[in-house]
Amino acid sequence: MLGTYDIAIQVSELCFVTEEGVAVFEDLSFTLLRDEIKFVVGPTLSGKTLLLKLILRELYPTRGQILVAGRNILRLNSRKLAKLRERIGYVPYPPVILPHRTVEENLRFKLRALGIKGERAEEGVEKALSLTGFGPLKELLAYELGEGEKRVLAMAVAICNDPVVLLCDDPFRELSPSDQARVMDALRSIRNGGIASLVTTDDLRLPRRFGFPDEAILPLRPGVVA
Amino acid sequence: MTRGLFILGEILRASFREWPRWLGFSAAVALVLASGSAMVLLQGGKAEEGGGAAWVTVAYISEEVSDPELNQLGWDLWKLEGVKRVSFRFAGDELPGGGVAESRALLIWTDDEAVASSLKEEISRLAQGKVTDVEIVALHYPSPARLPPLSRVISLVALVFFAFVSLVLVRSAAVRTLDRWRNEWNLLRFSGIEPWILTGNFVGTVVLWGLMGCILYVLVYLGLRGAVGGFPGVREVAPGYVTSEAFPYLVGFIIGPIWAALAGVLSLLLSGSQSQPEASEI
Repeated sequence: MLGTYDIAIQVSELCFVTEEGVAVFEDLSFTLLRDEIKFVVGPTLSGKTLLLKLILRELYPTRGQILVAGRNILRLNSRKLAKLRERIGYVPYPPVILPHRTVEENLRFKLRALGIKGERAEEGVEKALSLTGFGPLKELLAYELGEGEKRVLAMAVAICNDPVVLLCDDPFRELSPSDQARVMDALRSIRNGGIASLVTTDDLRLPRRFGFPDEAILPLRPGVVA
Repeated sequence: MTRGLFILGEILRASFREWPRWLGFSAAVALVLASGSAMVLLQGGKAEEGGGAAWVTVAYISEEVSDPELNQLGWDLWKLEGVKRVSFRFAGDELPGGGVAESRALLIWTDDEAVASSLKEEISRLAQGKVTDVEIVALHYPSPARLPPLSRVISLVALVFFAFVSLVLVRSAAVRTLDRWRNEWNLLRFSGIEPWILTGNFVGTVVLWGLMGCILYVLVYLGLRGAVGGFPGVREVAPGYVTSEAFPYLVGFIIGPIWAALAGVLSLLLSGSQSQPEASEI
């Protein structure tokens, strides 16, 4: 039986209807375990990014429940939400990195802005660099990295403060197969480091191509007018 | 606290790359404060206002008159119509308008030459012939220096103009600084830092640049006062400039930063659309 600690995200009976009356989600339910990578797969306008924004509580669902690390994010006050929000790593599309700073400086910038210093900061940097394979490249300036490496750097920045979950919006889009493999390796390594990932993509075959079972895929269909 | 200082320091560092614009904003803040001060401190008015004349009847009193009698005489004279005040001089004291009192004298001050002339007889009557001599001294006071009323209008126009210029400059500087800091802003937003923390620190940066203008204003104000504050013309044109010690500090360190903060908020509102994170698709 699964305990609260084992579940990174639990979404139950989630509904979202846009102002135009388009029902993007109808009773969407899924669970993301702490040691799991789940792919949210669907075509454009199927609600992939919307789902991530609902989990980040940048938008409110019409109905349903979202638990992150066992906490119902829809019931948290703004102070508690801000605390929890810092424990959710998020890589948007396009990913955001600081091109004129080194790989390590990118991580330290976020950690200092979050008020994380000393030993905790050192551990965070070391863990993020090692999980994403950036150890030898940490002195490189971010703009010198290849496209796939930049995506991975954005993931390293997202996980450097040891979040419970990593949300990645379309990290494989417009990448070469080798870069996609680099990103996937990083995701697996992050998962092995104890951080679950929820990853969106519009390529239905991509998870299977990298050997993930059907249970790791959450298919979304374009919304219908309610 | 430390996270706030770190973010403030980072935004400030980014703003240094746009230093000419920010320096222009600082100068504009100093000019806003200077023109506002001029509007408050300058004494406008017509040139002839404030001048005038007085007539002093000097009555030399005989040595026979005792002090109590002299006191009574002064009291009786003060009660006469048209008399403004009565004062006393010992022999050798300086008289108004120059000259020295030859002996004890009562000085009867009036605003009207006719009243002063009529006092001669009254003095003789009241003193019962114990007045050795009476003379009238006419005093003419020049009008204090005044600037034409237009000067305050010009100050007001300057205030509005420099306020507008400061807003234009702060918007321009803010847009460019935010543009340079866009990646950092977005990275922190996506990292869960609340927008008000970023906005607050940005406004803090604007206030710090504005504070430079405030310090410049106070230094110039005090320097100028030290240099020209002793001139009578300056005292007449702007008495508050010379006498009010608190004024420059009040304006420089309270009103100035408030204006800078307002400018910061306005600059963010005006450049808001350019500082938002890029939107992703649904």
